[in-house]
Amino acid sequence: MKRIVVEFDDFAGEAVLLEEQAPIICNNIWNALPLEGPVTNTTWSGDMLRLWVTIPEPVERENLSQLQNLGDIIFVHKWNGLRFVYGQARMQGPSGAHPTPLVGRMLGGLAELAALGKRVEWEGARTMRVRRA
Amino acid sequence: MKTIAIELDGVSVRAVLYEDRAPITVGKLWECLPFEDRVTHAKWSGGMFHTNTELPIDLDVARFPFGMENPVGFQTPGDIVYLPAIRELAIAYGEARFSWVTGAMLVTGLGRIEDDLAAFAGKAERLQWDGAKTLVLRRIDARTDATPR
Repeated sequence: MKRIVVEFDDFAGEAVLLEEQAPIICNNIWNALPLEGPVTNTTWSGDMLRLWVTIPEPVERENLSQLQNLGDIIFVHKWNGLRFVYGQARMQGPSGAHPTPLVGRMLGGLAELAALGKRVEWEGARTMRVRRA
Repeated sequence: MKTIAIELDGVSVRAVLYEDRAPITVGKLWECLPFEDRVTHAKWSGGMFHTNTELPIDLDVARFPFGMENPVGFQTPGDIVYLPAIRELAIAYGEARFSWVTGAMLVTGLGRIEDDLAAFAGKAERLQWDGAKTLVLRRIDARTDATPR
């Protein structure tokens, strides 16, 4: 099982990549690590953070999820990057909700993630790092 | 015609309020100007930002169909809208639709920015990157149509 570490400010928490359900995308993410970039809130999807990094994008759309849960990590084709769900959220844009690959899940640190979401909203983008555990 | 100046991070634009479509809400807003607040970028509504302090606008919402004057379900860039239930004012600067966790919501169409939106929209778009900024709403004197009050 591929485990990753998500870091921002003074926090470091583990997450797992769902390589059985989304093997190609997870492999691309794994090979792209370590990743570092700015993180902002999404503008259409609720309590969801967007990490602005570029991951080699596969054609395959594996493990599509229509609804997101707390702690989910998703990859969005075309817009790329990773998204982290820290509250009520649904991946959507101006044309409505659309299914996206569920590629990982946080193994804790949800309160810290929610606090980051609030901090980003009021104070602006922060830096997030994702590396292999 | 009630005209206001909207200032965000050093950029000011002129907007008209819909006295004809939402006379009571516009009248109450007019009474509480100037109004200043820290605004943040929308998380559900797309290219839109909103106030975070309740506006001092008291309305008897039971008298209006849908609980508000001039209910609108869609926005275009430059639209100024208001949600009486939470006393929140929002301004669309790009592709947007006022929404929350429950989905798209009806809001009062309050007015519309009439100046060129480009510089203002640029400042609004930065809210998601820079965090909260100060928004100021002021009356523009109808006699001179130029001087913010």
